[in-house]
Amino acid sequence: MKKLMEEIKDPFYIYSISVTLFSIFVYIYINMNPVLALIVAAILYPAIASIPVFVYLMSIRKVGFSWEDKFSIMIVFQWLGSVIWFIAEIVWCWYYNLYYGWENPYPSIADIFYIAAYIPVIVGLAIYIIYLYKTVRPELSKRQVLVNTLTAIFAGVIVGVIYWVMVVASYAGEPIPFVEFILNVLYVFLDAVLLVVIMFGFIVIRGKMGRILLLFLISCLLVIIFDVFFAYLEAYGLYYDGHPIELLDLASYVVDALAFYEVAKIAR
Amino acid sequence: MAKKVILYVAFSLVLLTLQGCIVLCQEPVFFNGLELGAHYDWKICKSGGGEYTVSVIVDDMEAEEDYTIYYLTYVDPNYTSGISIEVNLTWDEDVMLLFEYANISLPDIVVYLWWNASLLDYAMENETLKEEYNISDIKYGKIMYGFSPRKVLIVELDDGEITIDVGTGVVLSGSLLGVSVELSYTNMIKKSAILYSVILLVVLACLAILFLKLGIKKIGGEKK
Repeated sequence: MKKLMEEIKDPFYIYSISVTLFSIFVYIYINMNPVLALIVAAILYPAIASIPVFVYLMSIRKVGFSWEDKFSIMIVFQWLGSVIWFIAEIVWCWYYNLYYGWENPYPSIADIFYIAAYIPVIVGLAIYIIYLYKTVRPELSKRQVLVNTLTAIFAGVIVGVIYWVMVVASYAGEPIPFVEFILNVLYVFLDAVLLVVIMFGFIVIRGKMGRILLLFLISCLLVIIFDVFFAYLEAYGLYYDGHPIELLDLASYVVDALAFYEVAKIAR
Repeated sequence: MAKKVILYVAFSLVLLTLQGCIVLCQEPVFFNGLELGAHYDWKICKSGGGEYTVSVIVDDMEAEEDYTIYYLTYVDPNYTSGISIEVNLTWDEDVMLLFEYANISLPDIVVYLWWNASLLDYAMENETLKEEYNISDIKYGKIMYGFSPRKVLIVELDDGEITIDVGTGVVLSGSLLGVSVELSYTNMIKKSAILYSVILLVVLACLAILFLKLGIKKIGGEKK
């Protein structure tokens, strides 16, 4: 607890908490004035999504990149994911919401970026987690390995099925257009795979870099929770741009920024 | 050979998806501006001088399976304290002008203030529809709304030209039936919104870098 309080006194942690509180107050305000929800959320989203991109830029030279250094692969791939997600938010918010004035543009060009971002995020995490798993495997019994594997796969399948049911329910029996079908399958599949990777990640967290991995895993978990709730709200016609559930998505960007800050601390 | 076929199919699927996304996104949302609490004021200037304001506020809506009734408050010099009007939109039917479906008859110029942007988009290639609404030309354009760009539809009618916001379908400016019209206030479109977002982005990014440096400096100090 004392350690946690010390961490919270860190200037960057204070900044991150302030940004999160600011976002919460903005969302309370726009939900009391729904007519502003689309505009204000579209103004806020790209600004928050840019934070992890810029934070990592500050230590990009010091961290470097090498295919042998699995940690650097994870960091650089997570950053690539952040950059692509940032572009997706710009396309969704600036181009569709604010330039065209369209609410909830799905499917759209933004989805290409939202989906593309999963690739470096999953690959980067998987490479580092597999590396860690190989290191800690001798410590685990065969039974533990089996239980861990089954738990991770089971969690991915369960969440994938729930997510898919919600997506199908949102069409209320109407035929799903081909492009939307492909995108829905990709979103569900990639979230399920990401969850399997996250579950493995929680099992193997070790060492000095453990906190960085933990922060990336929490960030990804927030994205998955947001996606499933988004599908649920869409299924019942309850979602709108500026819905409080978006705070989970915004929080994931702040957590990513914290992870990159921890990287900068190590690399200084 | 098999590899080539798989690659070709994969490439075609990617292209098809991209194309599909772009095509689907070209269809604008119609009457997106009919949000609860939406408020629009238009300044109308007569050619001989004199101007007045027309206000429309969306008060309530009643959504049923195949139709939606919107309850609006309408204010103009004849109804200075406002009059409640109802607009019944049946979703099976294409509605070009919102106020054509109001339960009371409104002045001609007011009827032309709110358009269905997706139907206008369709009318670009449909001469019959253009003739029905006396439209001679429709084209997409871009205007600066404050310091930010905004997508618009420029509609040339037999007796004037109007600029319509694609997102909401409302007239932003133009002249029609011998009067000029300008959207003087709305809470649905924020002027310079993209610029505000860019400013917020720069501020948050600069603060992030500043606090990052402070944090690292603090750790360095503690270590010493």
